[in-house]
Amino acid sequence: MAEFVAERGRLRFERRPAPVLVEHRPVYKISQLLLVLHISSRGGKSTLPRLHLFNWAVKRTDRIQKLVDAAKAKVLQITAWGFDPALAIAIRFAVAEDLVQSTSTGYQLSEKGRNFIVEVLKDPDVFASERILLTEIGKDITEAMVDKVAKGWESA
Amino acid sequence: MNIRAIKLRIVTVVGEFGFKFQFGRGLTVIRGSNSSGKSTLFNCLIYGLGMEELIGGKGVKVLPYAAKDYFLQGETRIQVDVSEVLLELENSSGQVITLRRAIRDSIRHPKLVEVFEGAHLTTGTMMEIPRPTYLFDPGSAQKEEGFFWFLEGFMGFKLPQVPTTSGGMAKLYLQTIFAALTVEQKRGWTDYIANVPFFGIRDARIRVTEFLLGLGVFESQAQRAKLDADSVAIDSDWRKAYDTLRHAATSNGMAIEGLSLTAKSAFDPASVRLVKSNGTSQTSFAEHVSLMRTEHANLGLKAEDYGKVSGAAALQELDAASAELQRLSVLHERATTNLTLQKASLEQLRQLLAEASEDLERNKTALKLRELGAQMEIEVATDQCPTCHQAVADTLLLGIVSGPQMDLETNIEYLDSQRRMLQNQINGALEEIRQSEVAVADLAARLAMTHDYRNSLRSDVSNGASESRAIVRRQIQIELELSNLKSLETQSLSLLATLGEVADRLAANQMARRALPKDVYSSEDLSRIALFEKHFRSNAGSFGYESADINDIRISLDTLTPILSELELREIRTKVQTSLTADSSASDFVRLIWSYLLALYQASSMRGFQGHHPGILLMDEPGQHSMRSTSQHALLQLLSGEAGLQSIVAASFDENESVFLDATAGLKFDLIRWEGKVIQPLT
Repeated sequence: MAEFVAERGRLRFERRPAPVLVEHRPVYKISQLLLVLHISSRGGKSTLPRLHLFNWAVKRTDRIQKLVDAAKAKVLQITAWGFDPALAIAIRFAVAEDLVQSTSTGYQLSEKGRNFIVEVLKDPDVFASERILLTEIGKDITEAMVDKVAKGWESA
Repeated sequence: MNIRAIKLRIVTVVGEFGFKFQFGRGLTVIRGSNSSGKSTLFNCLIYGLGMEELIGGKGVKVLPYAAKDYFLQGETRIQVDVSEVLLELENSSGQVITLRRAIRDSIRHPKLVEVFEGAHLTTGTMMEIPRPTYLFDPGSAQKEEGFFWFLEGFMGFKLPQVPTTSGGMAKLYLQTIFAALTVEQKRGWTDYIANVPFFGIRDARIRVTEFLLGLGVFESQAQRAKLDADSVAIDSDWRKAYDTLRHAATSNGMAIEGLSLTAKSAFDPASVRLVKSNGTSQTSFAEHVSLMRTEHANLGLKAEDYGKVSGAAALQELDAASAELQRLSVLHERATTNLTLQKASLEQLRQLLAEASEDLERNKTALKLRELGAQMEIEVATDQCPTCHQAVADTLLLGIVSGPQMDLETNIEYLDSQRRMLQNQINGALEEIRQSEVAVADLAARLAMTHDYRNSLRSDVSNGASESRAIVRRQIQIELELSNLKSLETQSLSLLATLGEVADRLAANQMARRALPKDVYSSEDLSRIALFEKHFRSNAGSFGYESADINDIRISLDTLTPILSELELREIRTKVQTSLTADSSASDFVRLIWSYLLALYQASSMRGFQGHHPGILLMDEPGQHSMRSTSQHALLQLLSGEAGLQSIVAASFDENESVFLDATAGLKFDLIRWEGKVIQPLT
């Protein structure tokens, strides 16, 4: 190495682009958000903590499986979940794109958002596994279940 | 091929009705006003040829009700009881046949086409026993009883195999060829070769043009397909020999070195070695055999001396055997541990591969979403901020992560290469595991053998027999192994010879592949296409095409259709219409279609060209979009001027005598016309 430097006089470094987690691609995250609102939320509406719960769950199979079980048992056995800044930014983009509208309690799928996600779902390969699990969960993870867990945080 | 005559025969309670017409060998003009039954005649012609898929359907539904249900004779409505079409054809070698196909009949199905020898319509030859052929059902183009198979032979065609959309090969259907010979009125004037029925043939339009122009592409395509099939066979033969050899070697505790799992053209049987491995060191096949022989000989000597040796020597031997046993058991332990580790790392690699594949799938999803998002005008999908319309990076966590980031396409490529790398590593690990398994099995066998040997020694020492059981046992083991190894040797030699042959076949296959033309079209083909282009331009000039400069029009080598600055020529709307009498661009496109279809024949019929155009062209109402009569005249003039071309043109000439006279002035042609309706009492 030392000889190499001596011979060339200097070393040049070039910074190569780093790979990006697919989750951090805006359109991917936004679509995931729309998917949750479309398949697993009543009236296409959800509060923010609930959206974070789903976002946290779809990252790993065991987590989303827990949600499936919770939906069947009607009780949420998860005590805490992560709040992802990427989702927060994605929501801001989605609102700006008019795919999602803010409501007094959270967010709601807009007409444009619904059209987009319906169009997306026409390709069966897109979100293949997420789609199956979210459909299995259906709309059975209710705001009340999420609320109950969140209340526990305050009292602690 | 020539169509000599047509007859529609309708049987009713009040007698026979229908029509019967003869066609000339050159141009025949069918003149009929709009509701006179001109299209009935034209469609019956197509139906009689079994080509009604060109007019959008199978069977009698493409025919007007007059031919199958009822027709009006004056004011009375007459019910059709039985009806059929007869068609008289002559091929290039002068053979004449008459086809009969039922339209409405209680016995004969419309899928049946009867073929009679002789000219029944023009000379009244007796109809003898027909040859029945069938349409549309599977095999109609492949089997001898199929009509399309018959017609193909009658026309002297040998239709090539062409690639299908599903990846296989299929015969180019006769119906697709007829799409370039027959233009019906409704949708026929919408493309150069319109109404090609869908048979799952990839780029059917191009294939038809290639066939009619007699291009050599089919040969090289067929050759390529044959080489592909060969490759598959080569690969499977190689694998079979490889598996047999590996199996034989493994059961003898030998590993194979220098033999690739997949076929290689540069293969030297001498470079393949059978080795015995004990997990740390390797001995070659020959070495191993000679070691065994020496041991056997030594044992023989020992056996002779056995009676004389002392108890001390026997004990020494026992100690040596015990030491060997211990050594082997250590080696075995080590090899087993090694194998377990290798299996664990394989498992890890597999998991990584699964993760990489899943990640890749997700990234592909993201790419699809981006495309769809861009279509639906979601601005983030095109890296634009929806609020301020400035550029934004394609990541949500910019500012948290520093440095340049991959864009989606690069990311996908990156993941894909990662996946391929992992796949290679897995293949390597699998190979290693296979070797280790051989070593472990071999060590286990030797361990068991030494164990038995030591036990025999032990009993030798204790009972003091005059003949050592241990030596005899060991000798038998060695003899058995040597005879197994011998048969392995002969088997491996013959298998290596087989592999050598397979490698030679592969080399020949690769050589033939290299010899195939790199470009789709050979220079011979290119000169044919150039000739076709020349005819096309000259025709377009004669027909008064004026939407673009004819010299700028080329025949595309990708689609074999006319292009202007790399765009397929359709209707051009750039030129401002200067006066009301100027043609619309729609009629200019029709001129291009005329030019195209005629040029196909002209190029194909050139001396020494040997195209496959059968010399027949049927056009229904070519004067679309109020075409100028001078252009129609030019078309008819060119058609009647082609000596070897039979053309049948049905037209109404705007129901105007002067248009008809203008269009046909000074031309030689046969005229078919009638008063009133085309269906009249037959005499």
